[in-house]
Amino acid sequence: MNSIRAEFPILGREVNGKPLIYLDNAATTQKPKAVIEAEKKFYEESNANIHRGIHTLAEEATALYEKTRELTAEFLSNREVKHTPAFGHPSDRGEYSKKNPLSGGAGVGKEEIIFTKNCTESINLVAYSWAHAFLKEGDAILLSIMEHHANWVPWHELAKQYGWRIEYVDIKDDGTLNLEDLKQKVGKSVKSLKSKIKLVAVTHQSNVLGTINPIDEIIKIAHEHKAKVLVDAAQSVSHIPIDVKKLDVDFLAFSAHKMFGPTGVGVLYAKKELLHQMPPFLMGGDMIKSVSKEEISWNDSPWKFEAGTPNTAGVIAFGEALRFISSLTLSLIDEHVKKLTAYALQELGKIEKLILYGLKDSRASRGIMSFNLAGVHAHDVASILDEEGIAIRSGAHCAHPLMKRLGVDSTARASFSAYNDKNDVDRLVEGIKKVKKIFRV
Amino acid sequence: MSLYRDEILDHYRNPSNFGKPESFTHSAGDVNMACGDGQEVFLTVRDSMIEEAHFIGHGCAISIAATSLLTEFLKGKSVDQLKALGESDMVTLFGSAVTSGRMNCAMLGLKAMQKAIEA
Repeated sequence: MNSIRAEFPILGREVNGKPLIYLDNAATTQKPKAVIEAEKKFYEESNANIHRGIHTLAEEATALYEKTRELTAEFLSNREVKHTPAFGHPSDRGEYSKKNPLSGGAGVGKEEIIFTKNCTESINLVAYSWAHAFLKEGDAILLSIMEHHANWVPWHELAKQYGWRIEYVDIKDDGTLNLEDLKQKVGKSVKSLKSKIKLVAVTHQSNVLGTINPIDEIIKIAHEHKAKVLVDAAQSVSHIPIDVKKLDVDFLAFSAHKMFGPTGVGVLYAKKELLHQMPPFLMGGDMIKSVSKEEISWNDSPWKFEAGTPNTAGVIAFGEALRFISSLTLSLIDEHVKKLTAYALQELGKIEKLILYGLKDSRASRGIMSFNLAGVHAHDVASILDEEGIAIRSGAHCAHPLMKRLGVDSTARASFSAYNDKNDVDRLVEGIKKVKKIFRV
Repeated sequence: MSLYRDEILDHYRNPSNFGKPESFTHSAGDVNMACGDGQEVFLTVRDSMIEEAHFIGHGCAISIAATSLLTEFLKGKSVDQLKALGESDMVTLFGSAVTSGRMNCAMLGLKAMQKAIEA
């Protein structure tokens, strides 16, 4: 993993006269040269609008865009994303016209991958399109208390409008999901028709505690009771291999920018049977087959859910990010993050007055660590670390309900990626010691 | 110049005019929901002049130090002068750059004081 630092131009910069130590990967990851170049190259060589043009540039752009869709499908089937370069390869062009876009097979079909702006938009798509159409007044949605606002706010707001109920599954004191609580709540709905849980919306990995939830078990439990499952995979896609068909998950959402991809690109995976039934979310061009005064007919999935011109260049660059991350091998990244977390837990554990939140076991919780220094506000910790060139996050992390559950207003958060190393952890520890000195704690 | 130099930390550890006074003419509170910092401010105003300014509250070093500096500055100033204060004035009081991410902290006390005199 050490050699990959050279692939990320930004890691060479200084902040406040000190070498940048970037530990805010849960917020966004840095980009490798290949991804930056791919976006630049598209604008320099193949830029055109997609899906409608007949001319060469339009065909090239369309092929590149749809290629990323194919790569995403492979990625979510836990298959190796092929290493052929995005540009200049003869098979990349014209591939779109030759291949049947509605490919079946054992893996994810291309029609099951929708590109959005980000994970938040992906979740909103499910809320406005699927939930709105299929949930009735009185139906219930189960959320965990550790959800990011993206997987909390849409459900609450629409529940208010349409008369759905929201139920919560709690965490245990170690920050892990209370699976017994979940079983009880999902199970009880079968007996009482008044509060049937139709959807379980849960995060794969907490952006505050780093806890990894057993989504395979959760999906089994939910399906036994005929509830659908949406998984927020924003934090997990970058290091935990996912096979959506094996998991049998109904909806899975994530953002490209948290896995070395550009901003402005999100993914929604949904089972094709669901997509066929779902009405569109955003409407306009490209998601229709025909439009007249009397009638409008929708396009097929996935394009039914991709209205207007997308972030074409971003999606194409995302394809490069998929290739890049696949070349590192997700499970190796996960091993690296696990080792680094164990080292960080060990070193941070030696600091007096440092409070670590969540499970201190890198097997079930890793890559993301929330902490506080007793007697010092998290913002002050972050500002002083910033003076040392260290980037961490402080605040409520878009998870107010979890903050309340933990009994804190804010925490400091350090999060690791493939390019972080022991030196980064050592600098973090030094920085925290400086905070202690300044505040005399 | 570091935001966390000794004089600022002094204002955090021993804030000036900290504590609820026996008497005051105006008061207001403000809370930063994003981080839980909260302050309550107390002003004694006579003939449009600020005679006394005090505060209580909890929060980050920047928010406490800012309001402490502000209470020292405001004594003997006019209500109009208080109304005219903004972000750049808080930066001047600090004597060093306040990053945009911490501006909310620096402005907490000032916002409460401006709320107090509007009431």
